[in-house]
Amino acid sequence: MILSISWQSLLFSQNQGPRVEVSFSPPSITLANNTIYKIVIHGTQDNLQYSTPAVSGLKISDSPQVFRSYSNINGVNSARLELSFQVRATRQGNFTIAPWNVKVGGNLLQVPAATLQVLAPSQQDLLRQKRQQEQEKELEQAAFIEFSTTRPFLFEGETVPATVQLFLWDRLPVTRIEQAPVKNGDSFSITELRQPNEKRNVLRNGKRYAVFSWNVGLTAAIAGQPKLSFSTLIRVRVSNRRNGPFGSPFRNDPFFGFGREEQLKVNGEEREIEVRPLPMKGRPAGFQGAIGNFTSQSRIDSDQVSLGDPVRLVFEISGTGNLAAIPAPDISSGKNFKIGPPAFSFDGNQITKHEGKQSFEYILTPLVAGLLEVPPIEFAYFDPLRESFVSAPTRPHPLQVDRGKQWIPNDQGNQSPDNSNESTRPSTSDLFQTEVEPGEWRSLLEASPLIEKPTFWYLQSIPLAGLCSLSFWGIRRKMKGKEKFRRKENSLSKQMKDSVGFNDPSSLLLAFRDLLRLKIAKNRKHPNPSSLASDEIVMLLKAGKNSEEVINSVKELLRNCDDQEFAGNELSKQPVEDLYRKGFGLLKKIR
Amino acid sequence: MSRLLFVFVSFMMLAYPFGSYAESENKLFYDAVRAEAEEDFDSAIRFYEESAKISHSANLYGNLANLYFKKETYGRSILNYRKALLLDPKNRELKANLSFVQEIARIESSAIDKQNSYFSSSSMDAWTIFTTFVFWIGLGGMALFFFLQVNRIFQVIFFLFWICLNSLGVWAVTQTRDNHDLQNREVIAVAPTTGEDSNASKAIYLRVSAFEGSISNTSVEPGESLFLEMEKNNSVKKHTNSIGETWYFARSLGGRNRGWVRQDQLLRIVPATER
Repeated sequence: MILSISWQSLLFSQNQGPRVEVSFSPPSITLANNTIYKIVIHGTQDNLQYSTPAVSGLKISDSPQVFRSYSNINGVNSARLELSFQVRATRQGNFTIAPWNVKVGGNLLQVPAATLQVLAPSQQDLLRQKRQQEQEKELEQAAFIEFSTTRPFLFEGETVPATVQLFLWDRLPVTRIEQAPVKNGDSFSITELRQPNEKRNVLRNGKRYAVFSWNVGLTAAIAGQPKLSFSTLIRVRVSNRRNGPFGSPFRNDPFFGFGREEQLKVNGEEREIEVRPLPMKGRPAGFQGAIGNFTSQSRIDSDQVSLGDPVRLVFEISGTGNLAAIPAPDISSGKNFKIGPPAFSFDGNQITKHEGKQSFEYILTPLVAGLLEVPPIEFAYFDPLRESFVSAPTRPHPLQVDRGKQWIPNDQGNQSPDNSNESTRPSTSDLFQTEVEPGEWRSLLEASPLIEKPTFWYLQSIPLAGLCSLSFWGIRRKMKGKEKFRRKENSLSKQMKDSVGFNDPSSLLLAFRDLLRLKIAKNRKHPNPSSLASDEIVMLLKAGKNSEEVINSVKELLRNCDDQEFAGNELSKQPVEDLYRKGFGLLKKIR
Repeated sequence: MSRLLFVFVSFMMLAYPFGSYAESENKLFYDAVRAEAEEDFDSAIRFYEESAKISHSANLYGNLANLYFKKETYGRSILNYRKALLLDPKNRELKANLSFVQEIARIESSAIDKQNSYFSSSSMDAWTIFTTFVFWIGLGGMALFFFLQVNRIFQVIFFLFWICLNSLGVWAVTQTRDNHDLQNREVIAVAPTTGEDSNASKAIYLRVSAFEGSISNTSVEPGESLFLEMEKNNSVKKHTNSIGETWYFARSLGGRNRGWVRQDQLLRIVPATER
């Protein structure tokens, strides 16, 4: 009878359809405070599909806290789904969130309008705001990027050495720099950032910093007043106690608490750099974009060759400037030479490519015999310090080209070599000179190849032994790792069980989170389970094709785990045993 | 004391033959140089040939080749330049002399002469070391990456790169080995005696059968390269006829010209005793 009544009441409540309530809690706030935009949907626990509404002057969080509940009061069953959005106002006034729609299990429900009153900030709010600004300023001072160049302005296409410096406050618990600083702005190009130089105990703003410096070559691409800044990502270990005595998460010592890692974006100050266009006046014909201070020279490897023999012409530019951007100068081949495409080589500062020697090697093949002249190379550059063009052509090189050996056609030399005319045969006096010393004596004309020597094959046993040792070491290491992992897993499972006995939800949730990290790291082959933050865990769960339900449940438990540590929430009212079952069930389900 | 004396005497007895050995080849070489200076080319050739029976040196074969050229015996001149180049492959002077003699004798240099490529016989050891190095380093690296659980994609890329480098190495070793075998089978056609080896019309005939009266398939000039045919059991294909003459079956590099050639008309670059 009772069952039939409760079933009918449930049916009745379902027949009524889901009902939506909405409210701000509290409904009026001062400008410096937050409020909760709470949506309660009665009569369903299905998953929601929605897009967060946007209202000018309000900042509504994208990740609401979701809470599902089910109750039976006086035989009436009721299911409830709560969504709580954090809302922050950016200005004073009355704000109304217009009615909007959510989709629940295929049904479209309308969320009614709700109004929030935002009042002027109180004295207390202003004080808090000031403190927050101080904290933000402190956070900005905790990690920042600076860059410096050697010149106050640049010319278009000019390359100068620059230094990018990342300052990290020594009290900031940085675990790693995730990437080298990245340039923001397309008006400049920089050379590759390699390994930084590290300097510790640098004093700035009354704090001690570790400074990481990268030397780069900075090239201005577009004339004007372009802006340039750098940013990077670092990973810091922060405390879970958000409401700690100091407010700032970096102030707490993370090594005595359950710290978690978070990514932090470090920005540098945006700077305007003047980039001037190159003057058109007085631009020489041989100018091809070289900017800096250079000397040029050329040389040939031989000044006497036979017709058709190649000659190497090397043109070198030394000095400071945009060496990497200088194209090979054109050399007019004329009718005397055939000139091949040049080969480039750079010798100097490989990091900035700003200082050194750029060489262009041409292969010239003389086409006519006689005393020829390798033409001078027209080279001109723009000196940014003197702000004028400079011509630096090379000198011509004389080259004696003789005719070389002549081919005797068969019909002319029909006789055998024995009775051929002596005058047609080249002189052998230069060719066949007698060596008066025997040189090195050898017992064999040709040494037997290495592959046929038994010693070579015996020696292979050395690397083979090395490989076997390596494999043995690897297998042992792997087995040890597995054993350690298994022990840790067992210990955490035991901790979960014990916390049920001690009625300690906080310990249960912490053990659950660590066990979850281990399991996910094992499944997804992550090398460092303890470094996994909640977002990363969720991301790995998604990658493992877990169901949305499992992911949402894990998300909820992780959030509760973070909150439970220092604040306690409604979860503490739930029986620990239920939490244990839920957590244990989830651990079994995840992939 | 007597024991010390015994050791000293034994050492001297053992050392003497080696000393006289080294001295004799030098002595013959210097005798040859003196004879050449006196323009007694026949004696100089004889001394050099005697010295070459004891030991080898690039200068010895170079001088010998020069003398044969001066006596217009181009086949033996080319043969000795080839021997000299085996000992000193980078000697530009020897290379220039060889190509000049070939030009005079109107002989196209064989493909093996032109081997400056990366897969010549002389680079076989280098390729062997390279392949061995790549094989073990790659194998060790892969084991290390596997045990350290390095990124799987990186492991696959490394493995493919390793396979490619190994394949290149094995292929190169095979190529150089083939070239090495070919070089060991190479012979230079020469006229039977030095006096008759002038290039006037002394062609060497590649005959259909292994006897003097047999018709010939074709002929080659003294100095041309031929390659000895091998039997299935890896021995040289040869025939000794009823009058005691030994004949070898030889062919050109492309295999177009082939036939039986009398033993004294062919001289090996690498003597059979050294293989």
